[in-house]
Amino acid sequence: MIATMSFHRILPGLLLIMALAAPAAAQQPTSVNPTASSVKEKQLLEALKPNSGDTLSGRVSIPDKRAGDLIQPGGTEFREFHEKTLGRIGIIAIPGMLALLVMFYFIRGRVPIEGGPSGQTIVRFGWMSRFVHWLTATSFLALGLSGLNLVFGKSILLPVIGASAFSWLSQLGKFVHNYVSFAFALGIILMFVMWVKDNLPALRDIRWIAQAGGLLGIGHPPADRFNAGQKLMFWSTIVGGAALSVSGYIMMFRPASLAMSAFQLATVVHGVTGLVLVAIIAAHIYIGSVGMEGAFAAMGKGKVDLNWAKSHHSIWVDKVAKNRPQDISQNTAGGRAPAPAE
Amino acid sequence: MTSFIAAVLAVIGISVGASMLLETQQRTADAAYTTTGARVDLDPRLNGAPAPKH
Repeated sequence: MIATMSFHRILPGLLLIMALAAPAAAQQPTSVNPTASSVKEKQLLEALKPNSGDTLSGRVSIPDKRAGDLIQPGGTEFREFHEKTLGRIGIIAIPGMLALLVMFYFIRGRVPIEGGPSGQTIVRFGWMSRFVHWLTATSFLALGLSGLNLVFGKSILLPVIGASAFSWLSQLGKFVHNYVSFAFALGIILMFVMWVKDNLPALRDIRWIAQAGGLLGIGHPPADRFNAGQKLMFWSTIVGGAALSVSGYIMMFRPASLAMSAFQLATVVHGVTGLVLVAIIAAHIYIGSVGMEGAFAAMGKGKVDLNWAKSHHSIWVDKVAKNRPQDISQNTAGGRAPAPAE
Repeated sequence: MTSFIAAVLAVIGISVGASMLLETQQRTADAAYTTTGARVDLDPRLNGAPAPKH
């Protein structure tokens, strides 16, 4: 009874308050109030989204404007790739290639010089060509090892040599990787200039590839100064080396205007190309040393056995015999007579 | 063999040369990423503290 009477007394007052409050409520904006506690995180992120670009950024007054980047959504995928996928690619490419080479060695053995060593030599590469080859090769070796440490070192080397030694080695590797890159880039440019003319595709390359360089069919397919296999190696090195150099210098000297996603793309290109090129170069080292008799002499002394040259580069030998006969030495080692050129 | 040794020496020479050249062009992070208004000392690495004795 008392409660009913009280309600009747306060009802007019409540109606009056509601009537006064109604216009005030109508004046509230319908858009999101960013300071309200009920605003969801997604709404805030939407509000921070720029018209262009790939980061959610605030404003900073220090010279490094990138410090204002709050969130870069693509970064999660990039981290996933960098931490997991890149390592998997490396495990497939490098040990996979080494396994293939070991298998090839046990099946095919060392490829001998057809007809045996002749005792006669032919000049294959001059001093400058060998210098550029070794400039590129030694710098790539340093870059490859220091780069592999970045990808696999933490899981392979760190448990073996300990944190202090690994830290010291990785720091050294970082400097080596940065500065040796200039010698590698120079080597790639010089190699391109010196050998591009002899590495242009030719119709006879199809026959060489169809015969797998002499592994299939009878005899070696004819080839000029470089056969199709060497041309593939040349273009892999040039294209891969250029991709590594460009992406590497983007990472090293990152321009302030470069978007974060472009930087991450450069890192992906650099990582994948590096791993694939290490695998390709492993095959090149194999075939240029233990895999084929007489091949190393080309870059070792610059002269190869005439029978080796006739097997693998018969057209080139004919050209040298015609234009520069002084490049072919006389039989001094008492070897077998040179096989006739194809 | 001489071409190999010359190439190794060239790699070392180019790398050392590049590091010296870049050393003249690069700034330390504390100099590159702060404004002069935030620096107490002309040398941002000291920031007002006395220079260490070598």
